[in-house]
Amino acid sequence: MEQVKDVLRLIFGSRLIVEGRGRTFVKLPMWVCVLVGLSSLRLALITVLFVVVFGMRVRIIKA
Amino acid sequence: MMYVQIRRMIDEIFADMKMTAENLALRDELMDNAQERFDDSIRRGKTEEEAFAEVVSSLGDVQSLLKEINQETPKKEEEESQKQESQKQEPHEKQETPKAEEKDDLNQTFNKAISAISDLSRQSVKQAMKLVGKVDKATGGFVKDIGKAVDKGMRDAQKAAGTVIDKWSNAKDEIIIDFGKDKTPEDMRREADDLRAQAVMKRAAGDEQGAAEMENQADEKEMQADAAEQEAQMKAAQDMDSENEYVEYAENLCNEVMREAGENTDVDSSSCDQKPETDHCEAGKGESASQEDKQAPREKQKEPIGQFPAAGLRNVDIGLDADDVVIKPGQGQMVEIFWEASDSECPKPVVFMEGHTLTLRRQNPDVFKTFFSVFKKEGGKVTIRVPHGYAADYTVGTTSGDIRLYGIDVDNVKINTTSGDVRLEPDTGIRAKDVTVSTVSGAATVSICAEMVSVNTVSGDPFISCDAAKIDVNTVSGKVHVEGACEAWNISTVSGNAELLCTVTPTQKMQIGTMSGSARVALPGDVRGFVADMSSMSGSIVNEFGPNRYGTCALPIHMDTVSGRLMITRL
Repeated sequence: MEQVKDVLRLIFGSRLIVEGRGRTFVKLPMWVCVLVGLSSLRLALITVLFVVVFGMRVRIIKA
Repeated sequence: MMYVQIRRMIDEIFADMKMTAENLALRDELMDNAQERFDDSIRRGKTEEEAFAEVVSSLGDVQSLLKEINQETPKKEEEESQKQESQKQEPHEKQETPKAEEKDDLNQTFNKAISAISDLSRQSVKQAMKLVGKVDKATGGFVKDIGKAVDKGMRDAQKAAGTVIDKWSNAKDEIIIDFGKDKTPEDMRREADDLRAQAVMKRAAGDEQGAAEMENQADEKEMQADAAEQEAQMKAAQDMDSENEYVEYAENLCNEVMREAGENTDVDSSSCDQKPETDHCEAGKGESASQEDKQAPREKQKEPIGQFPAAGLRNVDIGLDADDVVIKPGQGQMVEIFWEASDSECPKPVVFMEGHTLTLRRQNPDVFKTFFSVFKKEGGKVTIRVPHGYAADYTVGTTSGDIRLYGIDVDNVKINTTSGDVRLEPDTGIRAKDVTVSTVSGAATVSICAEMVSVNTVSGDPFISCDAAKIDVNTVSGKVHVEGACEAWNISTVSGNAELLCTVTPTQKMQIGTMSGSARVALPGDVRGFVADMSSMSGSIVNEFGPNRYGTCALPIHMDTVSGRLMITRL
């Protein structure tokens, strides 16, 4: 239960950054990313695939 | 309530006029008259709406009169500027080529797209504010309460998320998931040793073929390790090189200062006042000399691809894809262009001078490479050295290449880039005319003295330090920082925070609009006065000066937001 709470806290209080080699592609509040991901699961999966294939870096920072 | 509306209406009438003492007096008089007219109408038994309608109809005449007065001077100015422009354009029109027209079209389209995005964001902020205001009114302040609750909730969540991130990342302030972690050369060598050990085992077991395969694999791993080491060394050398450019520029500046000091004063150069600077310069030279020795192999890779006389230069037009562009001061009377690329197969850009325009282009732009340059930087670096005293118009456009322009004389500057970072620091002794920087995701750092500065980004962070007549910054999610002395400020963001530090009190107006971003305006402590019109739906409003109508001067400050925090503080 505590871990679920932590995840919810992360969703509403952090920012997600996706960086390539020297470029930043995504810099958004986490709740926006979750909302976008839920609105189109296929888009989210393709994005994750791109992130893995191109060897990008995902950072979760304090808002 | 109606008083506020009347005041806002009169503020709008005077919004485009310069805040001279006469105009201010006229505005205050108009305000008093309008309020008296409103009170009279109420006394005569009319409703507030009827009284307000009367005031509006009376102000309509005044507005048209003021517009006529106001238009007289701009008309003259327009005529003069049109004459000047036509005179300027005549020679250029003759020299224009189809290539230049194509580039202009692309630039115009890009500019239009960026300005359309910023207009859309600006309009959407206004529309959303109106809509939320109506709903709030209809529900008796319910929306405002919800907004405050959400705001508080988000703040609490941010604090809680901070503790979670600390917990999960062992107090490193961020959680990092890296999918591009390449194996280090040491790891590869270790794997090669393991493979060789396995090959020995196989050979002992009589499997010669398997052992040979294993040894081949081990050799490949060794070669990969060597290549990775070389790449790392090249990258380190490239970083050092870009640092050296700044050192070189600082050195030149230092030398100039020393030369001027030597010319202006007849004091001996070994005097006490100048000694520390001399020491500093010498130290810098010594340091740079040692760095030059280290970097000698790198400097040799810089290949000159063009040299033109600076005397005929009026325009510099650069359109590249993934190549970085550096424009910096040179010496002598020639404009020199250098090309540098880590990949020897990377084609050089084409350089030509037509009339007074120096043009740099990719001969056959590779769309595929351009697209994938966003993921991995392809291309090289173009360095242009322009001697001092030759001010020109610069139009620079790249897709992912960074653009750096420093220490040179400029007139008009137009920079467009998609994901490249922009750093614009021309000679501070020169006042440029019109400076426009547009990026999508690249950061824009601008330090300039100009008539008009305009910075548009989508997600890039604008960091601006300037002395300008007017500054206009539009961004969607970028974090805005502006400092300096500007007469008129216009800042618009959707979710980005804005921080404006006025080192000198503005003379015309300040207009700041955000949707969810916070805005902070820091005014000088000795500001004569201002009239602040701050409205926020759910965010808090703080004014360190106390009343919104402060002091004797009526500098209009309009700040609008939906859920952000608005602050006016002392600098």
